Amino acid sequence: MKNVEEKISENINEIFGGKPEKGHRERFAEKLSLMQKPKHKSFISYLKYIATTAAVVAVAFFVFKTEKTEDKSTAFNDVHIAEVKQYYAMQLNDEIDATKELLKNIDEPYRNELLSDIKLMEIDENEIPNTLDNERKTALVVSIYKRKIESLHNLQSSLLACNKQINIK
Amino acid sequence: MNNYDEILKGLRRNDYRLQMQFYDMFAETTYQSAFAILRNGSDAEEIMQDTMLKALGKTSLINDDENQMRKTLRRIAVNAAIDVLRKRKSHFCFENIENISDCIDENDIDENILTVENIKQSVDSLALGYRTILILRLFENMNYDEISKQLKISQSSVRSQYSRALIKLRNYLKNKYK
Repeated sequence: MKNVEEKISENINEIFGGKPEKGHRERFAEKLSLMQKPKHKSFISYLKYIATTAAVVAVAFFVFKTEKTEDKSTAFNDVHIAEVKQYYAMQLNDEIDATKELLKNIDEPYRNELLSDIKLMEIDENEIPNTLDNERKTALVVSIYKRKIESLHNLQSSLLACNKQINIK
Repeated sequence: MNNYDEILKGLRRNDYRLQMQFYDMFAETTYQSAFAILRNGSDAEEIMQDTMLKALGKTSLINDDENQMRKTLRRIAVNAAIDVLRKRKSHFCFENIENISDCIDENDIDENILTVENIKQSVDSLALGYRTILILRLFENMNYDEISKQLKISQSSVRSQYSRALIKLRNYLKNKYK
């Protein structure tokens, strides 16, 4: 048995070792900069991100609303839109719950600010204009929910990074 | 003042450039410790980088001696890698096995079979528990007592599992490459 053991010991690095993949230094530099950034600065950027996304949603909504459609067909199916809405609302709720979970470790003033922003996302204030055809109405519903969900995903990744740093400290 | 002393001074004042030099100095060996156990590049990189951030964020972990520092970082990475294994495989535990039932063939294996590539493949074929013990003993240079504390099993079990791992390796090599 000794020759196996000896052979392993002689070539230990080749047998067990490995080298980090290309770009590891840059990835670490990014993590290190993130760790050194003051906490409140990151939160301001989250809030800015949410505000920007909300603005984009509002603009998209405005564009859809003012757009005149030639297709005046009233044959769209309200039930179908309601189903789509329900499907995305469920997804949104799951994401909101997951985000709230991640907010537990965050300092209170920031947490409260973010919670009030999240609350705004929960409100379904968007009225779908009747001038749109069925396809556009569905697209608008999907787009609004998708943007909200996307914002939450971005917020979750930042919160995960923050929580990780809190755990490290 | 040598380079490491200069880096240490830089770490105390949170000098970004010197923190990166600290990373350059220890990244590879820390990575190897995690990689040896996890056998996965991206997981090993994550553990290595978390270990570095942990050390840089906690001055009490910084050691004035370069070799000790390397050892500390490797140990943190090993602990983290074993934790990852435990979390991933809920059924994964290191058993107290003290009897060796595998047949031991006293003849040495032909030198031609004992190539690095063949050994690498044989190591990968071992069950996770045996492989981990082999790595801790041979790659991390841990003694039986340290391994037993690390894996929370008895020293005699570590000894017998280490021997058993070698027997299995040997049998695998003999059967596969005869």
